[in-house]
Amino acid sequence: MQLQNLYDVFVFLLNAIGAWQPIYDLFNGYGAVWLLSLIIYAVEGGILFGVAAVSVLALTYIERKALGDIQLRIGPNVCGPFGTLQPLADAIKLVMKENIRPKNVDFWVWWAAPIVVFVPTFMLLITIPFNEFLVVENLDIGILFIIAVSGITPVGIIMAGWASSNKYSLLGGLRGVAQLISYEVPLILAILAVVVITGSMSLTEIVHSQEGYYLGFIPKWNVFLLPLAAFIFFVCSFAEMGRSPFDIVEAEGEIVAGHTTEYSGMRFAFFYLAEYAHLFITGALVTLLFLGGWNGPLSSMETFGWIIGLGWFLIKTFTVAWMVIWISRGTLPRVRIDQLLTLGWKWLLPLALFNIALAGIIKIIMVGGFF
Amino acid sequence: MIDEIKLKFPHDVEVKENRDIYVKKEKLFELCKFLKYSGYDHLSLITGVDYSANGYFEVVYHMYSYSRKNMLVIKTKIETKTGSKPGSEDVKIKASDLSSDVKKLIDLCVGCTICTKKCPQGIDVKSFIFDLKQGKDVSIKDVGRCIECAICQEKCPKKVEILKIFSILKKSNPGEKEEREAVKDPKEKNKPEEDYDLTVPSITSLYNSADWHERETYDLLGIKFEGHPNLRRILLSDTFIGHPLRKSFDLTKKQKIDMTREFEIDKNYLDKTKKEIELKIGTELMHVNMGPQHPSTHGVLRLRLLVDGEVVVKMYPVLGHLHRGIEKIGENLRYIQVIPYTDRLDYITGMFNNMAYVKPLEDLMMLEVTERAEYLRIIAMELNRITSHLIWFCTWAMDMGALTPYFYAFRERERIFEIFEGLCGARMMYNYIRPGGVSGDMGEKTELKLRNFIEHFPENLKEYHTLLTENEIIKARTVGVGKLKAEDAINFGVTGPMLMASGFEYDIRKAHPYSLYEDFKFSIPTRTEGDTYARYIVRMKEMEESHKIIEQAINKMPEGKIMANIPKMLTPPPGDAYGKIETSKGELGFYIVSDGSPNPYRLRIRSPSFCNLSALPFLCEGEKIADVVAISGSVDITLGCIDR
Repeated sequence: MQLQNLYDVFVFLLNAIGAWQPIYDLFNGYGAVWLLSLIIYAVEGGILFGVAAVSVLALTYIERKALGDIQLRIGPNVCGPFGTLQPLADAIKLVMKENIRPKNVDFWVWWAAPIVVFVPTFMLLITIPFNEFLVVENLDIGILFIIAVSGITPVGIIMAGWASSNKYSLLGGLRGVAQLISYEVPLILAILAVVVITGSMSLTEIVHSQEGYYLGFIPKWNVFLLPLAAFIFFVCSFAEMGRSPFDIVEAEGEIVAGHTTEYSGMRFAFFYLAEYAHLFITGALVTLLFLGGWNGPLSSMETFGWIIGLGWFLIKTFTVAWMVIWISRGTLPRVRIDQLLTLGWKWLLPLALFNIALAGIIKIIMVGGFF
Repeated sequence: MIDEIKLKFPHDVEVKENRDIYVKKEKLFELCKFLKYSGYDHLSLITGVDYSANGYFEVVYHMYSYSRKNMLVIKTKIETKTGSKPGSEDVKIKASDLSSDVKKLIDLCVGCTICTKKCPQGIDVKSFIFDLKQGKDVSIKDVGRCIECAICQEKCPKKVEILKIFSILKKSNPGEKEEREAVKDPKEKNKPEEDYDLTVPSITSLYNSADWHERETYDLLGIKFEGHPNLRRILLSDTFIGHPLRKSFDLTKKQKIDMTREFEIDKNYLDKTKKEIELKIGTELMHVNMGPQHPSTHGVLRLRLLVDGEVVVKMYPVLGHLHRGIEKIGENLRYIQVIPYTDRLDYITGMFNNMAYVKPLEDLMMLEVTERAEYLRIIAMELNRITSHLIWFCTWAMDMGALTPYFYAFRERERIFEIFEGLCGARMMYNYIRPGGVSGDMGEKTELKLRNFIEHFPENLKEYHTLLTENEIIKARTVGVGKLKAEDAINFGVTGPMLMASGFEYDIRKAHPYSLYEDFKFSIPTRTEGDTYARYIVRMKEMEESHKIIEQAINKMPEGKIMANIPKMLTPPPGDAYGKIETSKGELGFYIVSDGSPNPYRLRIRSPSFCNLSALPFLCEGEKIADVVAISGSVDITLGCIDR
């Protein structure tokens, strides 16, 4: 049986120990196969949350260490060996903290905002294939799903900004919406170029199309085929994540912490989690769309190829995330809101449109068999 | 110039000692106008001095002409109509009323002056006790200042129980008692001080810098300036009662500030302007409070912004959150005791503050300073200039989101702090420069550290340039933002790197060399643009120049004493002196008025940050919120110096 997604993997594993048939029969006897599916999906959800949490913890650690290196500091080195338990300590601190609720907030909107920000980000992980079969649901329109779901985040940001009844929050919320909307367009157009080349919206398909080598040694990654698209996607991701130099949403020098100003404890942690989950997802998307996903040396081996593939995927993802940290927080100052919008609408959007035309030409050449 | 003034105003002007120009207050505005159009374009500071015991207040204007390189001191007297306050009348103790046990205690006194010399509060204990013994009437006024430290009693050779005498006299004196009860009564506490009718014409229409100076003089001394557009308190709360720099102000009384009322006053004031602007531009404005707790106002500065979306329409800085009343504290201390307090003014540039205070004091007392001490002073000050600029550069970058330069700048700052530690033992609160010299010599280890620093600093500077100077985002954020023309800068009283960045080549070290600066070769970096980026470049260049000066100083520093022979008790002759030096922020001046006693009669600090900040609304209005951060960072303020 060809493994398609995580569900299949579960079935395969249970089959291997001979437990699948009795369990299936048990549920089938009550006519409740749907319950079995539900349980498996719930377990998958748990695993997904675990992956998100672990990747966030790993990323915060990487961020601190990388920044420490850049800034002549050591970074965390007290909790655990080389400070590796520092993220855990932080997480515990955030959970234990008092949840302060300001007096004049619009309570339900204020309460819901962190969830509205966090859940879509979390949902994005559903379609991210870590490997050929390590994916919760391999949607045929995976990339469209990602674009659609990540479009919900600005709603959460403006909810937080408006309901906090704080002027910094309001400014941050408004800035956030202006920024996310204007950068979503070139971002989508950059993805569109990849879709044009691949002819599919499924992320697995996109990765499969990047297998093999040009001239025997250059990997067939989209980044070599569509460097402009990769560049636009990478730049827009900074804005999508709200990271420096485009971190004007929560520019601490100007509007204190933007929409998160009035949040504390676990509610703040949701924003924090969403930010780092987003960083992870950006890394994953860049890897999948432009860096060949899990493809790499030895990744097509018969039995252990999938482990090596997973390794390649994680290495690429964290490298991209590290690059984001290096460029954003380590190097660049923040731009002003008008400069940000100018860059988005006057430079990146025309470039992205031009890029689609370019992708079309490349596609024609490819279909024509000139390669 | 003085002759010209005499010709122009033959009947209204009186010149004393060829320096002080006394003018009738009716003619003050005309005189200032005349001065402004004859080249005296820089209003350095406005001070009020309380001579209410003599029946008048004095307002002192320091006017400077950049073209003539000359300072004029203009003074105007305001007669107090009510004369001295009834409350401040002395309560006399009659020698004949003394009880026998007091007489017994007093009899031991032989009239030596040890107790007077040792008293930290400056109470003339000797004359108090000795005069009583000789049967004279004495005033109880001084006794109120006693803090019962018992130093006088310990040092007294005859072991007179001075504290006991004081306590008996305080108890037995009915006048004192009444006053104390009055303090306890809450209604009495908030009773406004009896107000003199003190008015002077305002000169804000001539000098923009006069605006805040006049407000401060009104705030602290209660001198009203007729024609001032916005004569409100600036350092103290709007609900504060009394004017603390008046001599009659009772320091023992405590006041509770009514914050609600203060907010109301604030709000009413703002709402009026808000409505006016809203009518004009046709949209609703939002009021954003930047500070006093804000990451990038560098301290407790509060900027009230009226914003239209992201654009700042109007800005009001609110000062005084860090006001500690150092000028008033100084009046109650000996001259030498003031120096540690100056460290706390601009806590980033402590050496400059020491020097700026010591300079007018040395001028007043005609003190000699040894040559080695002068060299050490120059090294200390130039190192301090570098630390100050480093701090400025890294925090300014941080305000704009670049976090990394911060750590690079702090690395070098740490090295300089180690040198300071070797010089005076302290890292930030130096108390290093003293009248007549400095407090510590440079040892071998410190010298090695200094030479090491000199050797490596140019490389580090290069690193800073690679971090920021050619960065596209920094340029986009700063070039052309917050432009200040030279004439505006002068009108606002802006000095220092900000003035140089506006294309005006002026440095007190060159124009009026103090210490030994005329022996050193250095240049004044200038830029013509006057924008935020120009200020950045000027400060980076200034660091290079400071480096040059230190290099020259360490190579030709002579051996010798670091402290001249100065009297133990500093009592300058009656008179006043204004000393100014070029700090990393601009012109820092101390105006000291002496009445011949061991305490300064009046201490006035001309803070460069205060004057530079007054130009901030002018620079920021019409720019975006993000620019406010970049511009206010580029002004380089320290709230300790602004609020004093």
